[in-house]
Formats: sequence, C-alpha cells, structure tokens
Amino acid sequence: MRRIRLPRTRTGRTVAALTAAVVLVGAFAGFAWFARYQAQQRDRATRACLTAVAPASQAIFSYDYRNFDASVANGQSFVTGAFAKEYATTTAGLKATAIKEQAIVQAQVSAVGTVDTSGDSVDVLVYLNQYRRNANVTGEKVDQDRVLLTLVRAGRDCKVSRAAAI
Amino acid sequence: MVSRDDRRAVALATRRSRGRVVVRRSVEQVEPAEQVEPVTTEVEKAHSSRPVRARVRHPVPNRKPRLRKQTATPRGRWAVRLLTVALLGALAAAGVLGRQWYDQRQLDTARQQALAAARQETVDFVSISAATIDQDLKRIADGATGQFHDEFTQDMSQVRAAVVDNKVQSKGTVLRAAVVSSNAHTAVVLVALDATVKNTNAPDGRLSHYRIQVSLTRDAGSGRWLVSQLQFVG
Repeated sequence: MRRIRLPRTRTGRTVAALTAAVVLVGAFAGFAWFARYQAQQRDRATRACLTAVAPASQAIFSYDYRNFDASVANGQSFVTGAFAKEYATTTAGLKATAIKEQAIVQAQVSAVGTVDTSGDSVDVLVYLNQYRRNANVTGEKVDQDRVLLTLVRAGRDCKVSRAAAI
Repeated sequence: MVSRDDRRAVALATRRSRGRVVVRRSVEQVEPAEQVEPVTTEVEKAHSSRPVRARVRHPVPNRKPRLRKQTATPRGRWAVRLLTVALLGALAAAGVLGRQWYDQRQLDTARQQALAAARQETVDFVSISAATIDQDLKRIADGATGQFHDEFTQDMSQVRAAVVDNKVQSKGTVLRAAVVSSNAHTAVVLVALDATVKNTNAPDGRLSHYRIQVSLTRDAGSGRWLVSQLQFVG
C-alpha cells in the first residue's frame, strides 16, 4: 500500500490544507450551481410549454365540418412524434362523420396545471370543455373533459407528443 | 601541502557545523571544551607525531539550543496567498449558490407537500359514509382553513343529516393532481377524481367524475398545508 507523504514544512502543510479546502468548497459550489441550473432549465421549459397548452388544446380538440381540412391542419401544427400520426389517422376517420352530422366542436381550456416535468417533456392536466353542435343535437352540448397532455420541445416551440382523456 | 585526508577532515567539520541546529558564536566567545581536539594541518603534522583525526569536534557553547526558524520560500508564500484568495472566492460563491439551491429545494418541498395535502383533502371530501360520518366530517374540517373551513363547518350539520338520511356511501380515487401555481406559503392545485357513490337512489353505485381546484395555505404554526378554498371547475 502506498503511503501518503505529508509535507514536512509549515508552509507545505498550509498549502495542502488550503488546496483541500478550495477543492471541497469549490465542489460544493459547483454542485449547487448545477442543481440550480437544472431547476431553472426545468422551470423555463415548463413555462414555455404551459403557454402552448391552451392554443394547442383548442386546435387539436376543435373542428368544423365546413372547413374540416383546415381545422385538422391547424391541429397538426401543434402535434409531434407518434401522436402526429395518430392524430392524422383519427381525424381522417372522423371527416366523413363530421360532414354527415354537420359537426362543429369548439374546445375551451378551463384550467391547466403541471403534473410533472422531466428532462425536455412536461405532463399537464387540462380541464377542457368541448362545446358540440351537430344535426343530432338541439342547441349546444358541453362535455367537461379531463385531458392529460405530454408536451416536448420541438425546436423553439413546445408540441403535444401524447394526449389522453382520463 | 594539504593532504586528501586533511581536506576531507576540514570538509566534514564544515558540513557538520552547518548541519547542526545550534547557533554558534565565534570561537573566541566560547570556552573550549576539554574533550575537543583541534584540527591538525600538514604543517602541524610535520612538527607533531599526533595522527590526523577525521572526526573533529567543535566547542559547544553553554547555552540552550534553539530551533532554527523555518522561513517560507517566496514561492510558498505566493501559493498561500493565492490559495487564500481562491478559498475566499469559493466560499463566497458557495454561499450564494448554496443559498439559491436551498431556496429552490424549499420551493420543491413546499410544492410536493401542497400537492399531497390537496390530494388527501379532496379524496377525503368525496369519501363520505353514513356509518363513519362524524369521523369523515372531522377529517375534512381538520384539513381546512379560512373561507373553506368556515363554510364547511357552518354547513356540517346539514351535510351530516343528508348523508345519514340518504345512506350515502362514497369512495373517491385521485386520478391526477397538478400544480397551477405555488410558492413557499400558498399553492393552487387541480385534482381530477373519480368516486363511486351509493345512496338510496343508486344502491348499486354510480361513478362520478370530478374536476376540483383547491387553494392551499401553509399554516405558520404547524407548517401543515391546509385547504382554504375548494371549487368544482365548470
């Protein structure tokens, strides 16, 4: 086993003690900075994504049979990843019914909260009201939904990568 | 002529005298010890038959030995100064950054505590049974404060009568809870719950979906998070 050679002079011992103290205190400062930096990044990502929740939810969960393709294209601009394909498939299957029933669905966000933030993704709980009108309904009907959205950074924007009603 | 042995003897004597820790005065200031033998030279050797001695003892002054002061080299002094400055800088940075980190941790902790309190209070609020009505109502009142506490305690007798009369048995489950805003003292939380409600009209139970928003306040005395406002979001 290798022995640690201690400095023999007083100056040497002082230098060694100061070096150890600088390293320890510096390590703690570095750790504290990194933890704070991560928290700031997380908060920034959360704020950026929360501002995108209302317009994204309204675009994704609204459509009008009179300009169905434009409604879907608008919704498509707020989604990303596998959910973009899922959204395209769902809306394609809905088009015929929407036109037939003359359906107009307008979504409005009542409240938004952050469930979890990890890395670049943010999970949010959305209280969403869908105001529905169609040929089978007299007047307007309101669905009060609870939707869980996952948003991820896509370039400078936040886009919806998953949506589920709970 | 000086022989090799003489040179060696003188060299040894010189080195030894340098290496000793005693500080000598001049030879005149000290009294020679009896056992000391002088250095012999070639000339003396010629006039004397005494042999050349390699080990020479110098007179030791009759005073207490003093340790030689270890003086730091300029390099060592500079290293100490630089490291002291670096340590002060690191301490200042650690103080500021550590405080920010601590504050952030406090906020995160407060957020988690508020979230847990909101989940508990809302699930208590929708979980009421005629068989345990008094305990249920007390539990809800214990987790409430401010406006919500006042309103709830005011209506408690009516709630109790309605639950007992209709034989209500409700059991709630939290699906998701989400923070709208929070700081060290207050928080607003959304809680999505489902509850199965049985009563005289629905003996088999009926599933109810709730969208609740609660405002919470941290009690300064106990440190507990209490619900100050509870509303169903339309």
